[in-house]
Amino acid sequence: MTDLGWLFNRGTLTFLAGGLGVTLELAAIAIAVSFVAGIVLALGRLSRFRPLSVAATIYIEGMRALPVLLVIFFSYFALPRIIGVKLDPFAAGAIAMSAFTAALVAEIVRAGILAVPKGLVEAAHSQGLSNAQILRIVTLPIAVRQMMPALVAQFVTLLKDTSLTAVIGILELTRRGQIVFAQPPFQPIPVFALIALVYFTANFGLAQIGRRLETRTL
Amino acid sequence: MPPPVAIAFSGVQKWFGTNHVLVDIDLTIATGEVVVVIGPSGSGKSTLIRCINGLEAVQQGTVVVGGKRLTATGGELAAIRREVGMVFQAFHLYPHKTVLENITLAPITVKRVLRDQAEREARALLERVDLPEKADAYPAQLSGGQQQRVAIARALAMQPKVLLFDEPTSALDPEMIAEVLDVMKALAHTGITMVVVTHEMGFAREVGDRVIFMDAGRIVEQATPQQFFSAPGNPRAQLFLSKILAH
Repeated sequence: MTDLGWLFNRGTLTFLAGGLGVTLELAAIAIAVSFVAGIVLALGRLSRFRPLSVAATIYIEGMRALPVLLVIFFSYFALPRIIGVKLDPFAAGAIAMSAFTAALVAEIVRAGILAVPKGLVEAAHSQGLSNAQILRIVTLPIAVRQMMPALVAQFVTLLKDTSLTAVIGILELTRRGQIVFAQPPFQPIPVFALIALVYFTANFGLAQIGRRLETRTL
Repeated sequence: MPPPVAIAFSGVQKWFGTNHVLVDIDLTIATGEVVVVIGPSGSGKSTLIRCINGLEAVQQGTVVVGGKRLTATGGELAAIRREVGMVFQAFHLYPHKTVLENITLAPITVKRVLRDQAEREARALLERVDLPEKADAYPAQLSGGQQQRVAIARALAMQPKVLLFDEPTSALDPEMIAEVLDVMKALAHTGITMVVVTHEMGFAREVGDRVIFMDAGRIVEQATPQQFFSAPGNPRAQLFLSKILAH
């Protein structure tokens, strides 16, 4: 195990870097979609309009009870039959990761909204702001800052869990690592050590971004 | 000719569950009047003033503010609230906004005042509450007294006709109470209608036009400060005064 030239060469590293690209792209899409969808679901669950709150609650609780892997399989194999559109693995993976994470983000957002002091909302009401303005200007910004640590932890989990999409044939980082060590000289340890380091770095970066957003004003 | 009516309660009843918190409230407050509401805790003082801007709804009777009846519907309620400023015990400044942003938020979003003008007016208000240097600070960087003065400036930014104060000094250290009361006293001489729930008897005596004493959801005594503090008629008021003035 002295010569690692089989791993540290342009071809192999480019192949693995491509996998990192897929992983980050998948995570970025799922973070963006699940963040927006999570806020919508949280507001739905908190709504006084019963049918909306029941529907959002069923989605959130149902999704949280399922294994991610099942959601990924469902999105790739079952969803195309339901919607009648064929999905390539990446699209199916992105939908699955977004839909699953949205349910978890929704609960974090809901807790964040409930933790915003009622007095702030009253202060805004007392100045004649509308409910929509209060939500946009007061409640959500404060809630998001408060829940940033939980949100970042969830997105770190998401980034790691994108590796599960390997099962529907997405060539993301972990899957490409597996392909590399399945070839001569068949050495898993250097490959996985390298990949672990890459995941660590990516998640460390994500946590740093979160910390910066969190401490910006509060 | 008597001054026009700013606020009128007639036959108001309110319950929280089975708790009858406002009982047979009839009260008329004239424009420019400074009314101080006192009474033991749980007597309904805060609930009373929270009905004036619709933070609480009444179950019976009517509350009319500036000629408009509070019937808790969206646009009309917001229109009344624009004219009624409120200052809270716990300040409730927006923690994620600077002092200047706290003050300009409502003028810009509700009244559609241009940012430049809103900021100019906000700085003038900060001069008035003696905090011109804190425009870019965040609420958490201010003392309680400073936060409450910013909250007063924020309420004034909407140029309200009525200002409500819900125990504005009760969360403050003794040395900060004076700085807030000074601002309030100055306001009392500007002709704005003020309704102040407070335990600061000195304030009531000095600038109050009328003292209202509440007990168990009822207004049990109304008098000028001189009358009230020298010879309250109601036994409950006598007891209350003897307790708070004893030390």
